[in-house]
Amino acid sequence: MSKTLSRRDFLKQSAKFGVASTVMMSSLASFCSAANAQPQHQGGDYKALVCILLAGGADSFNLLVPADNVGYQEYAKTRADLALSKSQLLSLNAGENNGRTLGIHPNLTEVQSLYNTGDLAFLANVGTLVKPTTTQELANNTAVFPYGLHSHSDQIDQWQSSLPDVRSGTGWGGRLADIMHSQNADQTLSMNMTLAGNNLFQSGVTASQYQLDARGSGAIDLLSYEDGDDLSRLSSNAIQSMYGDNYQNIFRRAYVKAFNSSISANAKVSQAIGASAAFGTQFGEDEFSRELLMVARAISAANTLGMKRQTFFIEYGGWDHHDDVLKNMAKMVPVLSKGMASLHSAMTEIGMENNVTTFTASDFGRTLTSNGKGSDHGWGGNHMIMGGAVKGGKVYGQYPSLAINNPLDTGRGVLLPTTSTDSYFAELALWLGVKPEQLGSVLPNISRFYDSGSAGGPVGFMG
Amino acid sequence: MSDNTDFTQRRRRLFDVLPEAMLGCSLLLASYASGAATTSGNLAPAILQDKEQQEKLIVGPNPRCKLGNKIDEEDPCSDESEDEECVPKWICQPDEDEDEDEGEDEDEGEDEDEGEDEDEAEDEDEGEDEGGSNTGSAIGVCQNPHPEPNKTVFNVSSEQANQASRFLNHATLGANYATITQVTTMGEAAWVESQFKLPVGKHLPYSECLLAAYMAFDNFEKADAVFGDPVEFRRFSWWTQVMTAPDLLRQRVGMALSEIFVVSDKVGQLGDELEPLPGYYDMLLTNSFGNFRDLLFDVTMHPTMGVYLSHLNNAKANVQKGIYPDENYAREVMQLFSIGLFELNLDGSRKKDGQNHDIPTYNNDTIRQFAKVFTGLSYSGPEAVFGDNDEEGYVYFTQPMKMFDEHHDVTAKTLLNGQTLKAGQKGIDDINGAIDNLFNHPNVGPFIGRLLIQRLVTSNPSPEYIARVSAAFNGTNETPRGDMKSVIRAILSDPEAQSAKANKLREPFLRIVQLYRAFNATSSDRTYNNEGYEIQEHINQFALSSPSVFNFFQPDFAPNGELKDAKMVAPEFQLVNSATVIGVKNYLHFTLLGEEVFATPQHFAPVWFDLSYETALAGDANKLIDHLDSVLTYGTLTPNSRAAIYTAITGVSDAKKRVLLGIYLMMVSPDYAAAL
Repeated sequence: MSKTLSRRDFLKQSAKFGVASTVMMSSLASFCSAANAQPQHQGGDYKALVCILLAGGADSFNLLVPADNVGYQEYAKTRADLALSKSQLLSLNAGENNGRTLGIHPNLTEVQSLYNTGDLAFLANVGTLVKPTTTQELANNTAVFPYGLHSHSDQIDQWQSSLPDVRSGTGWGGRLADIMHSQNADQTLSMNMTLAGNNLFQSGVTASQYQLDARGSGAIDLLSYEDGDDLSRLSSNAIQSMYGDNYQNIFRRAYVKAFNSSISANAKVSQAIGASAAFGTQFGEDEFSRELLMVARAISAANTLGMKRQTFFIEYGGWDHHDDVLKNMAKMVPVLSKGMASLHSAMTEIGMENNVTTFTASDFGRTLTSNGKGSDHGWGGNHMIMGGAVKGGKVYGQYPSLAINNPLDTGRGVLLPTTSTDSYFAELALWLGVKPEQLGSVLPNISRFYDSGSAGGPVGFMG
Repeated sequence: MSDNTDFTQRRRRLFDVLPEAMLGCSLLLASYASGAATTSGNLAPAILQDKEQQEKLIVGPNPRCKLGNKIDEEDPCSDESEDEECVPKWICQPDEDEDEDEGEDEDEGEDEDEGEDEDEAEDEDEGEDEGGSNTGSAIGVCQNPHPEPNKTVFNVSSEQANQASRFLNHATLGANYATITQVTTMGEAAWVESQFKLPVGKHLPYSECLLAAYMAFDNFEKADAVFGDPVEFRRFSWWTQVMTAPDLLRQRVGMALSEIFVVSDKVGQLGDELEPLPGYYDMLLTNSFGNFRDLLFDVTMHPTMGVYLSHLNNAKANVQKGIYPDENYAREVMQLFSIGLFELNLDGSRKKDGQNHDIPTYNNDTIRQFAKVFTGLSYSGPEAVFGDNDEEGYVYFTQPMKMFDEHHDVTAKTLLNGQTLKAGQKGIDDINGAIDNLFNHPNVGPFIGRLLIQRLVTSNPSPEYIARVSAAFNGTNETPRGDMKSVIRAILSDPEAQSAKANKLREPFLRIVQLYRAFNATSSDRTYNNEGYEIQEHINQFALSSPSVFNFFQPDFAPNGELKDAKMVAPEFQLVNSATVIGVKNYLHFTLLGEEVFATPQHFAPVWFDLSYETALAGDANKLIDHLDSVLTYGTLTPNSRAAIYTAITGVSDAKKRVLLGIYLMMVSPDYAAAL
């Protein structure tokens, strides 16, 4: 290769030979020792949560749908032109809940088999709640509503913070990492990894987040010169000097910190993931699947990275279907279903299926009624939890009546949630190993919904 | 918004083929230069081979050039016969005559600075496009109408240069040293006034011109190889206008507005068609120096926004059918575009109720009332109908949406502050009433004022600064409420903007833009046709490509650590992560040290920096660093960084390499990353 590493070489290299190029980082990242890849982790004490954020507010009453005659008629009447046809719905073994028999969206084929084999559960009508709220309070106009209900930015934040009564700078995954990060061997690399950039879910008081790149070996390689030629040495020395300085200005200091931690983290991650073995599972070519594959690779490198507890954050956006909800969902639901199944299959390959739990989140459910083209911003919605540790094959929570003006209907089929995000997430946090007495620091409002001294879990899907 | 998987896929595909395509470039260039515009299929950017997709792209949206290369009869440039090929005429539209140019403009009669020299421009054009039209050569076809920049460098002190440079970093997307010294000589206030008078450097005409040139080819594969994918033309226009249009201040403000009134190519239709995004951007540019009330009205009525926030084809309620008005635009126009969530004081602080709580500006019922206002709108155009008409027929993205009163909700509406719209009004009267209601809310000055200060100057303006800008927004005896010129003057001339107290992290994208602008990136055909995907891969940012209506970053974002502890915000840090920090550096590295030219389709002249001024200084490393410090960091380079850069560049003897290394180190330094 010529003296300068050109852009095209760089691109190729980062795509194909990620490991090799980490060597070039040594001039800047002094810690970058050539650690030998550890044998791949087979379960053991490792646990990870994978959050799939269906950004935009998925119309999840078209994901989990009443399939019994009475329930379906109610559904069809309310949803009008947004209703799926009854014959298309996929059936669930043991799909009964709250007097309904539930089916699922016709494109959730893989989810159907995961459910039927017990590796996936649904949670019905979950959403942001300030405190337990009754239909009586709703009727009396004494119900306390979340801040900015129906607003994307507020609700997408509250699903990540689980604090619907304040604006929070931290998310529950971040607060969880504040407590649990000390269990990981490497204290310099964040246990919270994201494929969707900085996010509230993984922001803690001290915990930060590490951005994985779906391409290459997970980390962006630092472009530098080979061979230690003069220009390389000169520029590296200058950069080291500048990024080793203690700046007076707070913005510059903050940038220096971000830069340095990025360089060191990238070197480690790139090496570990680059050394991980390939999966037999075929992931799709779409971006969501590529990101899931990178999560799978990072989990398989977890041991090398000294991780015992992790969270991953993936965003699959584009669910804000004010228009063409049926058509758009028919395109997006298969991607979701196939992607989730690929992740589960890859985890099974490396013996980690019981150590990784994947769950969905979304800004809100959507209005049951139509705006003529699609649905608008709602409140409660239905979600999925996947993994070997999940007590799957069951719909948890209470599937609501979909009749217009039923007691939970706050107008236009916007449903008061019957399970809070706090209960949903507490179940996951306890599984990951948060002690009951620590639950309040992860989910500050949890005591309003759940007595952490009680024997059973807040919802029950993790046992 | 719906996700745009196709676009993402295509972008991915492009990214994947890029290295190979680039290897083949010299070959293509050679064969092109010899007159044989042939391309071997494998290296023709395999970007868009899907014919159907392509035809849809071209047939649908462009009122000027229909498939078949005919000139639209209304083309103001057309004095050729109808049968001739649709010859690109960017040169026909140097200054835009909005009132006559029907296909172009989006708002009803406004603008004072019109009525210019269409004819002259056309004459020039005659001779040139003959040779060009068949080969599709951009030189002489889409000829850049903007004057060559004035390269005069005046002798100024470094203090003067630093001051002008800081000012220009607020007021432009990047300025070279010549402009810095010219502003020093002219005075900042006078420069601002002169900028106010310049015509709008619109982005759509060049996109249209390129499309017409593209269409002159009989074969799309060939055309793709020569011009690139038409999906990218709006990005070519963005660069070309930003690099060459003289209305520097307007281009800066327009970019800022595009990060407040967000639309994005992440929504399929907007990214896949030629007109929606540059048409919308031009509307923002046009309104940048107008009145905020018109801006808000034009944003509301623009079909691009109608698609993005789904109030286009939004029908009145049909209770029997269980159909209700779409609430999306109603919410965002309040939350993001005008008043925000809480009642504000003039200085941007939140008003409090008796219990010391914030006071919400609106509730869900307000949203439902406003949702009724924004019903009945659809595309305008000869064949436009209300409903699902975007598959067929002509629709305009360059004209405001049309009100179809039979689909408008005529019930009474209660708006903000108890103001009502009476039942039975015409749809457009309701919309005007609602825009007036929003525009006159006392929050608009502090809310929009703070956002603009954050985009242009500093992340944490003092309450006093916000109050001064709010007062300018609110108007005086001489200036009306909402006068954008007054707001811009107040923001740029504020004492707080002229000191190192004004701190912000630079947007990664604007770091890249400034590189090209500050160091005189030029090409012999004066086009800058880079699609920007590669930049975007590295830094997660490009104009009009935000992931959501909340922009690339939110105004109150604060990263963990010192900044958050100090209760300061730093919105741009939302784009900073372990990938982009390295990405910015890598991009600068391969550009400056790898000397990789700004990638453009092979048909166009290569782009490279004009570093003659810097190279002349290179013999004296201190002088070179002083100069770079003035241009990029306005004298705030720390002694440590200066020493580090000095040591590095004095290790290189070749003048050009020394300059490139100096620029590289300056631009990756923490000193430059955060503007003081």
